[in-house]
Order: sequence, then C-alpha cells, then structure tokens
Amino acid sequence: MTKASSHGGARRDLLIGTGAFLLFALGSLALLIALNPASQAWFSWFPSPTGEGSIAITLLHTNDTWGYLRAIG
Amino acid sequence: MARRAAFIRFQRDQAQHALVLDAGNSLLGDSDPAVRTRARTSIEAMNRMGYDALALGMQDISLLELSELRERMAEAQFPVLSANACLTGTTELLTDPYVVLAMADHRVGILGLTDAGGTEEVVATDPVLAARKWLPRLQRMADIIILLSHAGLDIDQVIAGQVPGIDVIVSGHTGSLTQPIVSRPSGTILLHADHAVRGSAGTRLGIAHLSFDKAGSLAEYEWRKIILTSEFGEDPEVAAWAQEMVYGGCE
Repeated sequence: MTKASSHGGARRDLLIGTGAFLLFALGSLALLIALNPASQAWFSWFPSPTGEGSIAITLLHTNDTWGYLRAIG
Repeated sequence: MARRAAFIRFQRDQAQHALVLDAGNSLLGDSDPAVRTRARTSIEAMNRMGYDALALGMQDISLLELSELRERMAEAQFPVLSANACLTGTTELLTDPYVVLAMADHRVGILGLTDAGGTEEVVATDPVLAARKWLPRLQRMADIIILLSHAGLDIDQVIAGQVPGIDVIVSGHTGSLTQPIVSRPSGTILLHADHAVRGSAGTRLGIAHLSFDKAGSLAEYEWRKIILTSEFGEDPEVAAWAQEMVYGGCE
C-alpha cells in the first residue's frame, strides 16, 4: 500500500464517520421535536389540516366524580 | 361506576367514532378506596372504561403529593392534560397541554385546563391566558378543537368569547347545565355534566352526538345529561372489580 492510498482511506473513513454522526444527531433532534408537544408549535406555519369528509362523533363526558367506585353510577 | 362502564361500552359499540373525556376532579375526594389507594383505583377504573383523556382539576393536584400524582399519570392509559399547571417557581408544565387524536381523516385536538390555584409543588396559572396561548397553536394541528376544562363554567364562557375556533368546551367544576350553552358569535357549545355531590358524585354523564363538516366545523349537535339510575345495567366485570376494591371482596 502506498502512502497516498493510505491517506485516501483515512480521509474516506473520516468522511463516513462524520456523516454517520451528523445523521445520528439530526435523527435525534427530529425525534425530540416530534415527541415534545410544545415544540410542535414550531410547525405552526403549516396550513391547518382539514378532512376530506364529514364525521360524526359521539362524545361521552364526566367530571367531578371524586374517584367514586360505588355500585351506583 | 359499573353502570357508567356499561353505558360507555354500549355507546362505543353503537358509534362509528367515540370519545370519552373527563373534565377533572375525578381522581379522589372524600372516600375510599380512592383516598386509601391515593387515586390508584380511580385511574384503573378509567383505564377499564377506556377514557381517551382527562384534564386535571386543582383537587386532583392538591389532594395528592406530586410524586403520587406522577405515579398515577404514569399508570394512566390515556393522556392527562393541563396547559396551565406548572411546577411551582418554574414555567415547566406538569404534563402535556394537549393531545391530537386521528379520527377518520380528521384530527381532533383536545386541550386541558385546570382551575387556578396552587400547592407548594404545583401552580395552575390563569386558564384564560393559557387558552389564548395554546389554542391557536393547537388549531394549526387539528381541524376539530375540544377544550377539556376544569376552569368552571363562568371562565369557560369567557374563553369561548375570547378565543375563536373552539368547537366544544367540555366543562367541569362549578355550575351544571340542563341544556348546552351556545356562545355567540363564536358558536362554541359548552357542556357540563355534573357537579360533585358528596355521596353521589359520578352518577351523571353527558352524551353529545356531534356532526362536523369536512372542514371540521361543527354542523349539528344533540346533547343529553344521563343520570345513571338503577334502570341502567351494570358491566359485570367492572362491577366485580369495584366490589372488590370497595369492600375487599366482602359484602
């Protein structure tokens, strides 16, 4: 192996290593943003989503139940 | 609770899309087993009934140590929400402010609010300011907006008047309704199922049939308050579990 080809291999390894590190860092950042509700506001410039059809939803709701488990209710 | 479980199961089976929400102060109050188990039974009951979200009320916060509350939130199989409950002395929220649920090709955004107040560990700030801060952000991510609020009906009406784009406010805490309130000019409807009554809390439930157009705007609605009397059947599995939790398996 010549000195020039040895240097070329080292440069290639350095590039691959740097690329892998950058990919990992960007992936981690994207994951953090995706999992944090507060950061989702960063994307607020996206247009508000709309559906393609109407929808019917049955909403059941309670409040102030105080954790009662009695047979009634 | 076994009647509520049966009613919820029946309605879920009937509906193409269903949401089950709680507007707060439902973790514990004045009686066992919720007090004895530090609200563990309350969370398990809601898990069994398939709740989709809960907004924290100040009573949920003030009657539990912060460590206990965090344990209960970890046990919940549904989001526990508050956009204005912060760790005391910080601006860090105690929990997620909202959740966005996909339903068919729509996105339903649910924002939680707590009534103002505080403990040594947690402070709930002005709910109106929190609503004004968070709802416009949520509206960018969802086309159907539900405010799940324990701020009280009076404050919820202020929010409905100040923040456009809320389809439905599910209200808790003070007040009680026999008919929905429709806020003008926003058209936001306010629903409130119950007010806590010692010995009979949790016997009332609200049911709304909501129709949204393709843009996610509320087109039609129908709402009823249900009082779970003995005419309603029980979920036998939940009844057996509740019996064991309340009486330790003994009559």
